[in-house]
Amino acid sequence: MNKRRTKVTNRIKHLRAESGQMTQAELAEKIGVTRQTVIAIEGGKYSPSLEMAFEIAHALDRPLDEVFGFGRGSPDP
Amino acid sequence: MSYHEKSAWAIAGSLLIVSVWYLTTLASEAGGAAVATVEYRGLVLVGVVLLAVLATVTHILLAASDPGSAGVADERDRRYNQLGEYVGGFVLGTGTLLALGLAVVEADHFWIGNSILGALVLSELTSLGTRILLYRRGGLV
Repeated sequence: MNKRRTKVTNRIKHLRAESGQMTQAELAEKIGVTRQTVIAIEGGKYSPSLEMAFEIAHALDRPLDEVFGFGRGSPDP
Repeated sequence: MSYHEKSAWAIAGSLLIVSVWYLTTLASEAGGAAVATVEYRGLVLVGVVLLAVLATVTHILLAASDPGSAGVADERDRRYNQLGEYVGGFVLGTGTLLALGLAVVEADHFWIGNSILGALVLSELTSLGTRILLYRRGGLV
């Protein structure tokens, strides 16, 4: 099935690995969502709200624009 | 697959099973005569009870298979639910107008009742289908 990707890109997978191999389940627990939602965000299938984006950046201990991007000049997924 | 996606599949499946049962029972009870002559109100009540039982049993099984996530909705679940309800609302509105039109022309109450019932079922199926599509394909929001 053709999967739609959002315009928001992210480096969550890369940053999880950098921050001591944090698992999707651990990140999900930190930000209070299901693991399936983390999978959907990482895969570009779901754009989180601004509040959740800040929570993810905080959990990864990175500034928001290092985790998420939009259009040109966005971080590589 | 998240609990809420499984839940949407379970309700949609239950609704389809009960709808098929209702339509085939109506057709068999009519037995070649005009379908509007069938006493449908009892069938509707049985259908509602059947749907409640099916939905309850499937959700008990879903909750038992993954107790941690049962009943817990996150941001994505809430957004997809809202979008589903929004899309389903158009179908319900259209069906309600149709039922109103039938009442205005003083159609048989069988057709008025069944057009309302059809609108409720179709709007719920549209809402659930929208949610399932969003869970499967993503995007849109």
